[in-house]
Amino acid sequence: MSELNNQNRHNYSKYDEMSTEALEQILRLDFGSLDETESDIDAILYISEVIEKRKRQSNEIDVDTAWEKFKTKYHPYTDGRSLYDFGDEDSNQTSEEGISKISLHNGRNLLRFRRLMIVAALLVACLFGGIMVAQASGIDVLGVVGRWTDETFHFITAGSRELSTHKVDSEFYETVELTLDEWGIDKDLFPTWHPEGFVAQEPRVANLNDSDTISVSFKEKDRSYSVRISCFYVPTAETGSFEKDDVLIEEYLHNGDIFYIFTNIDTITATCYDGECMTTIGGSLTVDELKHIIDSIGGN
Amino acid sequence: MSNHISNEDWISRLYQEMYGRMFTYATSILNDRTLAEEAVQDAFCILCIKVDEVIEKENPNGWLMRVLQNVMRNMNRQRTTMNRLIMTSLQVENLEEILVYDEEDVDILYGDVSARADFQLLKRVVLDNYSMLEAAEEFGITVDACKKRVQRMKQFLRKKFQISKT
Repeated sequence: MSELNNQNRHNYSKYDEMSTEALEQILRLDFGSLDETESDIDAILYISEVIEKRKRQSNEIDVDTAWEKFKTKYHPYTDGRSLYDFGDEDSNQTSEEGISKISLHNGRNLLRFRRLMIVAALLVACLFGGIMVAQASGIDVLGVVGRWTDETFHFITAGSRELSTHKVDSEFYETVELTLDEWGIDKDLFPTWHPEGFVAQEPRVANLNDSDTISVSFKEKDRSYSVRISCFYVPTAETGSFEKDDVLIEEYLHNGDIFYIFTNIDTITATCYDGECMTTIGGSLTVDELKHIIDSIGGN
Repeated sequence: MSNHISNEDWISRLYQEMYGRMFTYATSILNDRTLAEEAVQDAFCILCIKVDEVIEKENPNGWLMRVLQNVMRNMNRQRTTMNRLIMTSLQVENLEEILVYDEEDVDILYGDVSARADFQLLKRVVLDNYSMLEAAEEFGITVDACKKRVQRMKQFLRKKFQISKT
């Protein structure tokens, strides 16, 4: 059995100082973005070990009982596939094919984990020390907060991708529609109009415990915004919260749905939740641009 | 399974070493200790099938964590799909009439199962967040039988709704 080597242990030792909550948040963020890039599995192992050691002290983990259950309840009845692999189109690869293509040592992963570290630091800073702590660290807090106050935590890649050369075209629109279709959503939720000069980035998908989310960012030289659609497995009152200025919220009606429009410093956001899916459009836009984007939902 | 017996000690040691870490990781992701345990057990079942290959690997711990990630993604995906099928089903007025298996199916004829019972089983797994093992024990069946019945009901509902859409 291989173990983390000393070099890796040294590199990952920074996780030792972080709170369990922050470490668990890193794991969730990483898992939620697995569709776009693979994990640094050694970091996952290290973080899990750190948390495990803390929990073992409180006797929360009983390996012997689990082993007995494995031998008597699970292993004798395995059919060679995962319990949740029904051999249909919904089944993901859970065996070698899904693993062999993944390199266990990837420099890009290390960079990605550093970003997650920043996110966790922000989380802790904003929870316990206020935003100013993070700002003092040279982090673009305002660019991040709008994201990490919503449920999908898409801020993890904020500023981390270079501008795509793709134009706003049907390719990404089709990708979004196909993804929504796969999720069983047959409504037109993605806007078809975007302000001139903005370039679409590749759609990103995150699968969380209670929802699936797809988002597309649009960037021009000095401005950016994103369109995000979150589909919840069951109707929920916990769709996340947004930071906003102390001004009135405008209700904007489109195709029978109410979009709530509000501002937060230099950004503007519109969000609508129909009981199944939440559509959120936000970023550096004018009110007119935002409403024009909303109006194009449904193919108008 | 017989060719895996010689590797049992290796698996046992790996289990002792890795279970805590994997369970910790899965609990962080799934936010449910029972489902987390099932995901880890599932990953080790896959390891048992692949043990001859994995034992030669440089980093079997990493391999296991990758498998666990895939198991959890698959678990989430399947639960999402089945949740939507159940939600759609519950909106149908004549659901009781629809919940009848095709009697030409040999498994149904000789398996002594009903679509209604399978629907209850599916709801336990999906809506009540039961693990397959928990649901199996409540229904007095093995985890393998539970999987088959969940799978069958899922296919059944899919077929019914495809028909109703056309």
